[in-house]
Amino acid sequence: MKQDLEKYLKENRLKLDVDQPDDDSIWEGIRGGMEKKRQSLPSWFWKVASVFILVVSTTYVVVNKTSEKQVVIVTLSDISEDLGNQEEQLKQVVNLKWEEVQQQLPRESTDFQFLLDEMNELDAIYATYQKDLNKIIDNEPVIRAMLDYYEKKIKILNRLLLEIEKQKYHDETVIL
Amino acid sequence: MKISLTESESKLVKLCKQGDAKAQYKLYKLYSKVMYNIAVRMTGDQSTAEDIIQDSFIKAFSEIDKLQNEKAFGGWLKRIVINRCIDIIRKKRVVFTDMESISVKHLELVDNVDDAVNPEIVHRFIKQLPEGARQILVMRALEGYKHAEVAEKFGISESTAKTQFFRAKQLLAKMIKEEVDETGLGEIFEGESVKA
Repeated sequence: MKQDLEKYLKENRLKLDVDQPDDDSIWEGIRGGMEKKRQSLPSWFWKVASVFILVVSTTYVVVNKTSEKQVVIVTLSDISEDLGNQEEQLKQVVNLKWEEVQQQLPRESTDFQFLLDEMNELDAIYATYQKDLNKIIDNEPVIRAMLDYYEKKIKILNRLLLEIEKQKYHDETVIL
Repeated sequence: MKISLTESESKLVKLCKQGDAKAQYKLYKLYSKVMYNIAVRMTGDQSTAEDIIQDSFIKAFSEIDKLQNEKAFGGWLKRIVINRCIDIIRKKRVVFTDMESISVKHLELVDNVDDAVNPEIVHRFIKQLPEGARQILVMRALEGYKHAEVAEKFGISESTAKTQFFRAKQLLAKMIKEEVDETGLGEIFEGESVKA
């Protein structure tokens, strides 16, 4: 007798299950999979661990940054009075020369820019010397380099003054 | 298909919640064949079906604590199996065609079958149905999903789901009819041997 296919499928639903699975091999796979899951740590553990690592690393970064700000810069006078005096004298010379340069430096200072750049580079190098001195106090090569910095700076300032003078002379000659 | 548990099966689920390996095995044996056949019909491939069954039971046993009603284990497991099948099918990027692509020839077919047809043959033909149509027929006609649910699972419109179901029924009926015409009545009918 003919009947609707849908009705036939519903009535014979259980009879349609004719394929036989390979139970032994599938069960082995299930057992193996379950064992792996048992051995691996639960997902909540990894969530807790990642939160912990985040908190620790954030704390480390914050503490590190704050403590960096609190670092006291060591100067040569902290090492010895003599070195401090030497530095102070050199500093005074540099300041005087710099004032002189500022007074004479024309508005259009492009001709002397390379010397000004050189001074900026020297300042940057000096800052690294200061950091090194903070790490190891009484570091002789660094101390020498720091004193040398002032001398180099004085030389550049002298050269600057000379160049300004030359420029002035040149301008006057050309006008005449 | 309604899957219901007896009292003892319900106890097995409770034991599984305590991690009892023997209870797990017994529960596996109870459901392996049903679930395997669902997966075979959905994927059309026995090896893939075995992998799906394996993954599904591992998931079910691992998450059995989440199952509050022990008597609902069968239905819950079936959903896990079908969802896993759908994941695999989606990865294969099966294309679900709409009504326009179905030929008039198919639409003219009827979907009546003789009620004496051997279900084994029908099962074999279901596996031979084209991708898309096959899964929709299995979910709608055998596993009790509504058209809207099928559409949602496959990310298609309800009308496409209906079209595909219609197409699958037509094709299946055609295959059965051709087999009957070709081999005679003997082999195709359940419980009857070939008569010379």
